[in-house]
Amino acid sequence: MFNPFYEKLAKLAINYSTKIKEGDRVFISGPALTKDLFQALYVETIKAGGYAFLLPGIEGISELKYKYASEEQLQYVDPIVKNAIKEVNAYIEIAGDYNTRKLSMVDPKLIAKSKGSPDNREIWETLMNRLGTGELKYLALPYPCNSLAQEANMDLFSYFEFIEKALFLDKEDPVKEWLEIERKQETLCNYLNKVNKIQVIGEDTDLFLSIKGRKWENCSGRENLPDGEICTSPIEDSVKGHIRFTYPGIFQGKEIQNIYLEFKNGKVVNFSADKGQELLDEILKIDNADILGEFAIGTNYGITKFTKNILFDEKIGGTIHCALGAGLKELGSKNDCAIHWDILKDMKLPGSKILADGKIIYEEGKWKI
Amino acid sequence: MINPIYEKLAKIVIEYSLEVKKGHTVFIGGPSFATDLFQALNIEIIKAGAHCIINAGIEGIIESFFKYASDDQLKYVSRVEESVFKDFDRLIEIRADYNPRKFSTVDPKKLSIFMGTPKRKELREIQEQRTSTGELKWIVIPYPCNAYAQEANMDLFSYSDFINRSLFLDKENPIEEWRKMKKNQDNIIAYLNRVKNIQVIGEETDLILSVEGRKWINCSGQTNLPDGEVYTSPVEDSVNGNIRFTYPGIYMGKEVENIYLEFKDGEVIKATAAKGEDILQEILNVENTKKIGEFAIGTNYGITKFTKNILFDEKLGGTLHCALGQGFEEAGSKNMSSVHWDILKDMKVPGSKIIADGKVIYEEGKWIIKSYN
Repeated sequence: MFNPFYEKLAKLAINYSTKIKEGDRVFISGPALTKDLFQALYVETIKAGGYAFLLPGIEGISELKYKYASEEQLQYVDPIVKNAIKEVNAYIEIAGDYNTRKLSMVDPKLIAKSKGSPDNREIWETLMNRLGTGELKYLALPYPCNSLAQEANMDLFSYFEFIEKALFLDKEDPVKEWLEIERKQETLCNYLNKVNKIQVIGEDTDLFLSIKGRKWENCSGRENLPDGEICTSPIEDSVKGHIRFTYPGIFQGKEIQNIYLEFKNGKVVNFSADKGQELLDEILKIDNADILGEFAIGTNYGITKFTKNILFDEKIGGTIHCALGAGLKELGSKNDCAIHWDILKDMKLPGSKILADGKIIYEEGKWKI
Repeated sequence: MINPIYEKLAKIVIEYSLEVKKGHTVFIGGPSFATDLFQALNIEIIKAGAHCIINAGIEGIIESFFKYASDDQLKYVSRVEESVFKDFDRLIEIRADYNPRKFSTVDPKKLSIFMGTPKRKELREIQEQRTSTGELKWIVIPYPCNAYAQEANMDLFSYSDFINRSLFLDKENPIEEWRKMKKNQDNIIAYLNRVKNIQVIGEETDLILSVEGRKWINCSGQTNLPDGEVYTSPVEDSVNGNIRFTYPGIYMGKEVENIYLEFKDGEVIKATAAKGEDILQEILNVENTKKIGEFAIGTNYGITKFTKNILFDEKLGGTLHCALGQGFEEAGSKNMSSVHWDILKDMKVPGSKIIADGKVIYEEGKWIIKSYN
């Protein structure tokens, strides 16, 4: 009865990413339109001996909340959800939507108030703490729906195939593919963990950063699907030089094109953009947003198109991305910031390379180690 | 059981726009999720004593057709398709979608093979001919859906309200409102049909055009909902001066921002844009697109937001629009082009006015001819 696409995706999520075992409790949320995936995840959870708690969202409810709720109501989160995050072994979030612009007309202050409420902060802290101790597994995974296809300027069938390739669901055994990626990236991370200095060369680009003592993380489908990147947080005051980003940076749905940044002693000292320069200026005024919080290399060569969806874009094989703002504490970062904003550079362009302690390790989109 | 909004909309369409009578055959096309509106229209058609045929489109069918069809299949015209244009008395198209970008990945060549099929051209001519004699009436109407809401950067509830206000569905008796609009615009075009020269003054704008001998057309819900515009096709070689358009021009889904045009003896001699200037130049390279095929004034003050949907945008009260390319035969136009590209200017901006034979008739978004209120 199931479309094999959802069965493969559910197996990947339950058996590989979250590794559900007998007795595990799994909390799954997402829009109700993702019924096929809810059903497939439910079946795989049961088969693995676990217990699934499903919370499908009904169309229009979040818009109606913002339209009619008082401040008090906006800040409230039901104990059912709070307890779920405290107790379950895995939390799976299905990323799909009826309408990606559903909150465009809502005052951003109200959204901030709701997201920053004590109830929501408590949930966030519980999530982070339990993720840190390994008690809880978290996974975000995509669902092919019209609203996301529309954002990507694609029809639903093409978008379906796009997701299929990005997650290796077009292969006989996707789990095997992801295990292979994990193994390869393990080798890369082991190498990079011994490196002190990174230099990025490319179009309008010559950037230095020190990563001495910082850890590299292997992102291979354990928390995100699709996945495929290795990342670290550079030493805050070590970044110098300049970089031109190929793809538009997207900040709260708005695009900033052809971003150019110049760093000195770890801080942005000069910048420009073709479109959205004012917004870039605003972003850089946020406390510590002029410092690099992340340096990462995308390794998923199944993703070949930029679709304005960071869950996919930051993993595009042959690209690097830098995040301005908050660093990754578990990798040794000391930069605290209210934002973490990823921007991408195409490294497949002729002449693009990455040097590690003076040795070329990456050239025109491919690893040399 | 029927939502009163759809009942009101169906009544406008059947009673006012299409004037459906006993014995008429009515064909309705639209996406299958527009259930409520299909149901409401069906009820009104049956009540009018007419016959209703419903063609509800299934998600993904048309994309798959274009993806897999051979040239022969693209050119095939079924007897059902033929009959729609030849036999039916009334046609209704519900304009809504699962995904308005569904053709983005289709090869444009396939689309032009499909559209350019001789049989289809013939059917379009039959439709035009039957429309001009009054034998056939057809209309395009909206249905609130997420895909269009998303394009408009809105949630579905706000988008429904937007549609309701545009069609006066928020009023007690919408048909009355549309009749009132028709009467007002009849007065305006009666005045304009005697005018020879039009001058548009506004931000970076001083444009002169002759409308002598051309006809003005009153659009008040007969073939489009929402509606609200009066238009004509200017004398082709009479257009002189310059104009700055306020809203982006949208061509096959792509935006051209801050368009500025300069005309001499009816042709564009200078064209610039802040974004998408290459698209603008590409359009101007098509035959006869350097000429204005339409000059129109939007009169629907229920529409207050630009939503990148020409069915709504061109009727925005307080705006005017010009179309480059194809003109309207019924207005007296002689310009033939494969393109008819509408671009909008906000006339509510201080200092904006329209002068007819030297007399100010429109100022800062409002008519100042006595007969219109």
